[in-house]
Amino acid sequence: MKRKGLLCAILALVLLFSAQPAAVAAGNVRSTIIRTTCRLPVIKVTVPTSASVYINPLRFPVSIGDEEADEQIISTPAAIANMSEVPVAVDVTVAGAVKTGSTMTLASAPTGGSGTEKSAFVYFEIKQADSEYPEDVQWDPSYDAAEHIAVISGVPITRQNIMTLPARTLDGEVAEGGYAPFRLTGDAVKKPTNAWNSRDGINVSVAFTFTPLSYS
Amino acid sequence: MKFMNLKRFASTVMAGAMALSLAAPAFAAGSSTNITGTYRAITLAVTVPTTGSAIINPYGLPYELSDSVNISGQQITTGAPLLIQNRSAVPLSVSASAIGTVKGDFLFAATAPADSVTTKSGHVVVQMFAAAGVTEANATDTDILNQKFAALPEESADSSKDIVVGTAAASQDDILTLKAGNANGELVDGGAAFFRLSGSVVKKPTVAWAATDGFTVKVAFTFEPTVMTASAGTVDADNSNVSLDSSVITSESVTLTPALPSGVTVTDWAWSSDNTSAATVEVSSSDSKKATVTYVSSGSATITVTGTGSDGTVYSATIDFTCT
Repeated sequence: MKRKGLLCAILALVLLFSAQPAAVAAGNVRSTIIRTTCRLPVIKVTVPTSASVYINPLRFPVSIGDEEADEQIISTPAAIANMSEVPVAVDVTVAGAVKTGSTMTLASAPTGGSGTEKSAFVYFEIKQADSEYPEDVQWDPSYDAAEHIAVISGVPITRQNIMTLPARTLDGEVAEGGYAPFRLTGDAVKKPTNAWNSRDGINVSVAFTFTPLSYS
Repeated sequence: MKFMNLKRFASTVMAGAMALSLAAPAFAAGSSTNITGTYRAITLAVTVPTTGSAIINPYGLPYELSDSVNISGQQITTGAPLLIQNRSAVPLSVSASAIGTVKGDFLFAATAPADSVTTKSGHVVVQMFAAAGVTEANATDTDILNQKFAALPEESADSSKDIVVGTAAASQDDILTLKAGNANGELVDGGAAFFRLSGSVVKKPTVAWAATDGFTVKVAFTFEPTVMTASAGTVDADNSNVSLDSSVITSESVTLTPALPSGVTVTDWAWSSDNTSAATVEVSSSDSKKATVTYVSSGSATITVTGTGSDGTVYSATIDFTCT
């Protein structure tokens, strides 16, 4: 009986001490575990894969879609649109080359339409806009070296940070100012000594680089 | 017979012992009182979330707390409102410690990384904000909590109380005070606080951020019973004299203009001087919001007016006097 009593007493003490730390820990301290993961933006910008440019020295009326144009250098509508979650800074590189078999040249300055050499001056122009339609854009009336990029045969020209396209809306739509229509335009010598022919033409590569910016 | 005698003797001894044990308090009552003290534990009714989530968000992308509530522009974005709530019978001072562990290539930075930093590092802080307007009625309303959490300012409420997270534990004491629960043990306005992870990260590390980069932070809160204090308003010298001297301006009347929360009243204001060798203060007998400060000797004294509000908060305001 004495031994039983002793065991009971020891057991009671063990129970008492084992219960004690839990009571203390539950006192005035509480904890939160916060787990963090990394979230990266998806850059999604719509860029047309191709477009056409027409050299129209004599300003014939040319149908471009539903529109009619009569400029000396005419390009089909093209635009980039930012569908990314973040704003993007836009860099552009324009490189030109005269088509194989063509005897024309690319001038580095406006020709004014006069002269005898079979030459065209072509430049790249891009504008930030609320839509992709070029007819909604107020294009510059003439070439501006600070704003435009002349297409020079064999000489790629890069302009960095030409504009910032805002992030898409929370509804997933292109935001106001999220479009940037662009075109090739310029002029050409009307009556060169060596007449224009169907083998004359140019290939122009327009390469865009988009750098994500912080969302604001 | 011999046995009976023994029994009687034992009874006599027992009766005597009982009589003495009863008599002892009577003897003692005349000169001393024995007071037995026992520890009375205060049960803290505090709710703290056990888990939370956050996002390394180098570009500050919008994060949807709900269909209609977004957080954007935060490089460290906390994924859901984190709320601590006090329903205890006493106000609680909140202290906290934080320790982080890294995942992937993430590195904790002690300060905001400069643009030139190219490692995957981030400056992460734990910030706390009073959750104004959160009560028992809306403490579980996710829509309301999301809105309030998203509306928290970008900047810290008190940057000196931010805890900079690293792989070694860091802590801050008395970050803020939570009001006590009401008589029914319900959460009252001022009894809850939001906390979040915030900070900045390198936007373009040499090796690009990956989904596997991250970290975990354990935030341990310590709650200590305290007295809720708040500003009582402003105290002004009636004649704009806060400089007293021994001959020309020897005393000045001061008045408290209370600015108490709506519905809170203070029935009596008490005035005190922290340096009665320089100036004393005496409350007006007609209006305890008024008092007179009197020059004693050269020195400076801070005059404090204090009152306990109907919400249990101790409100106080001060005005400094110079005695020449």
